[in-house]
Amino acid sequence: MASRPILRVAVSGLHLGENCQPGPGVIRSLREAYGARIHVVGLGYDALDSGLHAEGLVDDAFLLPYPSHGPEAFVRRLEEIHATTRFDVLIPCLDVELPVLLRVADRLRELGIAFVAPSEASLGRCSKDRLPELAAACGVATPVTRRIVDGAGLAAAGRELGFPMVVKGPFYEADVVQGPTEAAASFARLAAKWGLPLLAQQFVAGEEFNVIALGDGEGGVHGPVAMRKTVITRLGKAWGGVTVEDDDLTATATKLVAALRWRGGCEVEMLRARADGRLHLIEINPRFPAWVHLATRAGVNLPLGLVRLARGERPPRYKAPPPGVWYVRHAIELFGDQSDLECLLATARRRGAGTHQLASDESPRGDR
Amino acid sequence: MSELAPASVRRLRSLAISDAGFVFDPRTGHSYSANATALCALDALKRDVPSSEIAALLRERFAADDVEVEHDLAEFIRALGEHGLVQSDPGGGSNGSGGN
Repeated sequence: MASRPILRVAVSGLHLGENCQPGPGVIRSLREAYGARIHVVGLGYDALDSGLHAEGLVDDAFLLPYPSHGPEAFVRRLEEIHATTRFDVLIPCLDVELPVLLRVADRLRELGIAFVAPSEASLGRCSKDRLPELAAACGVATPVTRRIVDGAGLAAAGRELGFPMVVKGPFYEADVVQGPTEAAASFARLAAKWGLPLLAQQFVAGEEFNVIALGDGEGGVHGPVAMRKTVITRLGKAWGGVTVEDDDLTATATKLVAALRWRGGCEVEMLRARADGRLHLIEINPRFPAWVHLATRAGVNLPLGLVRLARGERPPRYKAPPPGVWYVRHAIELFGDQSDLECLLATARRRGAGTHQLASDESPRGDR
Repeated sequence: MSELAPASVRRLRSLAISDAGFVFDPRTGHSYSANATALCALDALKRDVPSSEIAALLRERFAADDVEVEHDLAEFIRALGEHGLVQSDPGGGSNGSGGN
């Protein structure tokens, strides 16, 4: 007889597409820690979020309204889901969810839903346009960054920073532009997609390293794991990586996370400049990255630590991860039929893991 | 052939090098493959053996002529510098991702 789950957890950010989300890595890490004693509620935004359909990933799946619909719609949906299938811990895995969740934190607590999130102040201090302030306070180098809201600001940034220059969206995406024409095209594209303001940043040539960590909200930083991306997608996202051992890198990231008094998972992106070997702070992402499972496989199960923090317990004592543990992502197709989508689109819920298994006599005719 | 100062080979000493020629740099995560000649040179460089003595060692072990060995060893040390593994080129980062 299967034992009763000791953890009922809801996880968002389930899509593994061109821009992979962290949810699947978080869930796999928790399944490694809890085995059969976990019940995972998958929270998606689109019926085709791949994690809703992956075999063995989620036990129950629901659709949420996008956070842009506002806190009230978001929390009401979570209340409905919680009334349908209880969960004790919520792990938001997308940047855009955090500001909304912070506004409904009390209502979630009233429902008995625990979650770990940074304070509004910490979140504000790691926003892209305020990173230089944080970097300066910690004595860490960072590329010169300018907030831009129009073409005149973009042109001024180009004159000041020179080319190549980096144009960045407020949440996601960045373009390295070689001149004013490319800069204008990038500005138009990113502004249309993400809104204003955008950022213009000095280009620093070098090699990027990322550090994942868990902050306890009191300045404590647990289990930093550093990696270098070995396979990079067109969007600059990691499709493969390897753990590295660099005390300077880890200490710098730890200093930044501690200074933020960060509570929750995060990823510090840094660049070691080719010119002088100095580390530059590029970005701090306010949640675990999609490669979180690499840290788990290197012996540092940070989602487990996050759950323990959410429950008011201490995270595990992590050992320093060994260098040389690597991963490469492997994309496969998931299949289903209309009943899989019908269920999600009509009821915003789908029970059970994985997609409907096509029997041999149900195979698409073209394949026979 | 110029000599490397002992401090400039510190990074080499942190490399994980297998007998089969697989070389892993734990600080950057880069890996390389080295042939028998390169392995011999790496081992000597890590031990601060002067370049002139390394050249003699390679000549003896691999039956190569003087000019070829000196040229190849200099090229090898230059390549190590490009990869940031010796400090002849302190900038390192030869495989830079080229952007932030």
